[in-house]
Amino acid sequence: MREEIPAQVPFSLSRYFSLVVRHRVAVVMASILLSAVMAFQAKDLKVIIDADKILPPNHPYTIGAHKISEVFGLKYSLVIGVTPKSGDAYQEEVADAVKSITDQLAKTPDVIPGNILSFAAHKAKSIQGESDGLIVRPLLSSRPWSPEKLAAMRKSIEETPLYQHALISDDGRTAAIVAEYRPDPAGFRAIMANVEPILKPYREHLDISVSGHVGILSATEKFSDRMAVLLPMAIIVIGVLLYAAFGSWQALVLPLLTGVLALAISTGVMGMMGIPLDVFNAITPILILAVVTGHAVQLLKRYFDEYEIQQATQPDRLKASHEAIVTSLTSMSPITLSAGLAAALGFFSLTIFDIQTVWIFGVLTGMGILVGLVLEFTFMPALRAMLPPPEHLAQAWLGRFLSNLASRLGQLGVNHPSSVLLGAALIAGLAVAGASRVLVNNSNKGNIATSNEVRKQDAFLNRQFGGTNTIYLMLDGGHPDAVKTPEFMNLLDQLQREAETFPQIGKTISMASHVKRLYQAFNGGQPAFYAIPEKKETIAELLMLYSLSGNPSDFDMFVDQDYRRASVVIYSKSDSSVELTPLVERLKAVVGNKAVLSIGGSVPEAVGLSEVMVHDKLLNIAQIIAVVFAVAALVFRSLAAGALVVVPVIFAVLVNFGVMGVTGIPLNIPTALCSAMSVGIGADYAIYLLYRAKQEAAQSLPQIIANAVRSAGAACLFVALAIALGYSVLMLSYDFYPHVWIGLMVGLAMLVSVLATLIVLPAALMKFQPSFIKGEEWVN
Amino acid sequence: MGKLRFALLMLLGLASMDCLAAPDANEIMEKNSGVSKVVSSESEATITMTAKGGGERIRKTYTVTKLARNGQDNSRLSRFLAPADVKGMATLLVEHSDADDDIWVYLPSMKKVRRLSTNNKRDGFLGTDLSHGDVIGHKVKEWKHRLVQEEALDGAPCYMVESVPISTEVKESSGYSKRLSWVRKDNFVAARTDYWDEAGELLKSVNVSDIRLVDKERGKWQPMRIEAVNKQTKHSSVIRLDTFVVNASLSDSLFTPRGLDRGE
Repeated sequence: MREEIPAQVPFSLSRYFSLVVRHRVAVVMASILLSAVMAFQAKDLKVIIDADKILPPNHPYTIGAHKISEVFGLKYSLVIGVTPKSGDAYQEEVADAVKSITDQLAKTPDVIPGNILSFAAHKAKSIQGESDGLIVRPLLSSRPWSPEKLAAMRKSIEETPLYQHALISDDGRTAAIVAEYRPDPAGFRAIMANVEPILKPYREHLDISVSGHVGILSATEKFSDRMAVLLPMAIIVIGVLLYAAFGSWQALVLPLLTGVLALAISTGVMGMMGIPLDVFNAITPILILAVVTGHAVQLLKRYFDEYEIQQATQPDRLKASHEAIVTSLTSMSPITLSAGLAAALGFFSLTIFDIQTVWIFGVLTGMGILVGLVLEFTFMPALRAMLPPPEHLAQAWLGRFLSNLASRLGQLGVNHPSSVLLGAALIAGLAVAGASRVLVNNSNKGNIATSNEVRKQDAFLNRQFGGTNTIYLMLDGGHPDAVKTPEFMNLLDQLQREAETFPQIGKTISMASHVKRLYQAFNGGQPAFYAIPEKKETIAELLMLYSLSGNPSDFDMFVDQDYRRASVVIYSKSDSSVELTPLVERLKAVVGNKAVLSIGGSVPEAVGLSEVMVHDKLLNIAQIIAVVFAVAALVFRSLAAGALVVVPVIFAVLVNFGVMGVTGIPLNIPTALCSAMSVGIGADYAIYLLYRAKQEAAQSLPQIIANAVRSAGAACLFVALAIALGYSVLMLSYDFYPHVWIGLMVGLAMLVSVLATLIVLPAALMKFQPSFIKGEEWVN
Repeated sequence: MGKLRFALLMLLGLASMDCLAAPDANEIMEKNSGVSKVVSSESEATITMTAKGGGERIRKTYTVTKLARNGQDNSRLSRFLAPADVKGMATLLVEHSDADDDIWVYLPSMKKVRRLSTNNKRDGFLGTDLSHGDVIGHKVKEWKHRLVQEEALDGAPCYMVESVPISTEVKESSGYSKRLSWVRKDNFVAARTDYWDEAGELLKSVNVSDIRLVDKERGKWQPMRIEAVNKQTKHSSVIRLDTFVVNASLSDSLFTPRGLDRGE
């Protein structure tokens, strides 16, 4: 049935659309030109991980990491393992590779040259104590490396606790090179692009493994490149759906083209503004494409309805088509605008969060939806007017199926409101129970499947050495020379021992390790002297003694110039926030008020992110719900309408969290973005349905609901299906869990929110009979 | 035949005239190597080390040196005057032209003397940006020298001499693939030396100033200020000689391990 144009819609709207139809060629040309220009701007859009901006700038770990990087040059570690095809690592070929790689890494951009650790590093010394003296030599002597020289190096490494699990693996098979890098504006791949050519010549004869913060994040960036394949696949999937629903090429091209142009313009704006896409936001283009295409489908569907009516009175098919464009858009504009603005505002409101990835997501999605709205009111009607009117109007099989399905689902709510509401409450209750088991866990390597080569290399290096992940502690004694006091040294030592009680921690290093080694060596190598000296002067003298045989920058990683601040470097085999939060808490307790503690490194980053996530994520969802509520309440001039719109959304979020709790999918950045997405998009369905219900002038509430569900509900089902299937292509991204999780979770959220809209909302309307539906249009 | 002989003689003659015009690079470096080797000296120095970020470490030392009878090897006793927590700590370095140098250290808090065996000339001297090799002096014979050009540095005419190690061993033990020295024509002190690391990258630059004639009789010169700047780490060290007395009467017993714990 056809409804009247609501009285409150200004007449100027139809004049506007007539104008668009009249100047259709100019509008289409201008839209295409603008999109082309903007698409050109998008060429500068980069997908990088700016690890510095993952945590909010005012988070203690961000401040800590920044300070530690400034003072000690400890930032992002790269761990390289060199293993010979046969035999142990104490052979000439390995020594040559380690020496050459160590020297060449020191020349790569962004590296902190003094902080490279390997047995060939100049600062790696063999310190042996004898009864009357101290022998200090480089661990790796000069070429040629005879078996005797390498055997001497083995002896030194095996006798020095500092080097164990660090320079050569316990089984003697693998040699390690650990380098520290500053962030590169072009991301972690840019760092690896300089490292790979150095490793390449050795890969033929030796097994080279790479991991650490730099290795893992560089691999993560590479996984994001798959979007170049996944996005076209999503376009094809949505195209197939459109054809299956409407059975015409025009119905396929028009919405899809609008979606693609919206995508080009919004990503172009991002490129122009120099805002990079991060790995998690690289999936946002599919969202924009799906949402804009979905809206376009709603409008197109209404156009078909109008054209059918116009054809009855207007013999000129082109004129009938133009008339239908103006009428359908005039009637749909308020609702399309309301739904679009609610979603866009919800997404834009995310910009108040200082987690960069969240606000970029908010800006990009909000902008995509707004640009989509503009195109739906300009480009789409203009192009529609240029094309010949459709030959046949019958819906294709999918369209018919969805209409029938929507009607049946709507009937459920209308006929059994109490049972439906009870069932929904039950499901919500179960979901809450499941949600209570949701694990907040951030882990960079947890994003990659263990079967993937990147994880295999990481696992290998973790078996061989202390760990490929890092926790950096910086202790500030408050005054120069504070580090030299036995109390301070003991505190460093205690922190190391405490950390080593955790099974994930394989190695710790600090100035205390060096002082103990020197004290023992100075005292003839007696084991009893492997301890912190009791006098401050002895510590100071031992440090000076070392400096007599070392370079000025040898200790730069561990102590600052005036011995006020010292670091503890902790190597961990895991970067999972769930596993390591207790360790970080324990270390904080050990330091207490004995020194000012700063924390940085890949592990605290994950721990901090999880802390922020729990608090901010809930706030984030609540915020979008609040915006949607406010916009809906305003549009319908009813608080009850606002509440009804958010019901399906809250339901979808609960089910999403419940499923995550039951399946063990962790709450982290990618899955958190899913819930924000579901809220922003899921609200659309309820707004469309309620608006349609409000417009209906039927005899009774059940009739109103049935009509609304049949027309608007079918379109909602289609949009949900388009988004869900569009996103489902992400599940093809094998080995990279964020893509798989998002593909799965968005699909689930779309399904749940559309089902809630079609079943629970009608039940709620029946049960509570809100007055805004029983407005002046309801005759009975 | 006669013409050929004449031509050869002419060529040789021209070549020898060329030699007269500018001394041989080896000769320049030999003179440079001996110009600061005094019979004995007594000095106090302030060493300021500055990190990239600007943080400073200051050390004060009292040093006595005595040249061995071979005129090559020095014995050098340095005692720390500051910072306070290492006051009294002392090191004794006895150079051996044909073997590893001997180093002894004395730690006053433990009242122990220990011999420190290290064969690494590339390590920092007293923790500064100068290496042991830079301070002791790189053996002229172990390097191939070439006079690049003559050039004035801060108004003083200099020979610019490029030196490259004769073998991989020398390269690895010194840590340098090349040195470029601006040797002053008037006193043969290297006013500036640039060093390239093993990978061929510029590593550091050492500039000396306030060059004084400390032993007129033997023609010995001593720079009172030495500044080394590491171009890669941006770390720098300045050694300022606050006092410098040559030909002091110093007992040989001072330069023995037993002499280390005296005068604390």
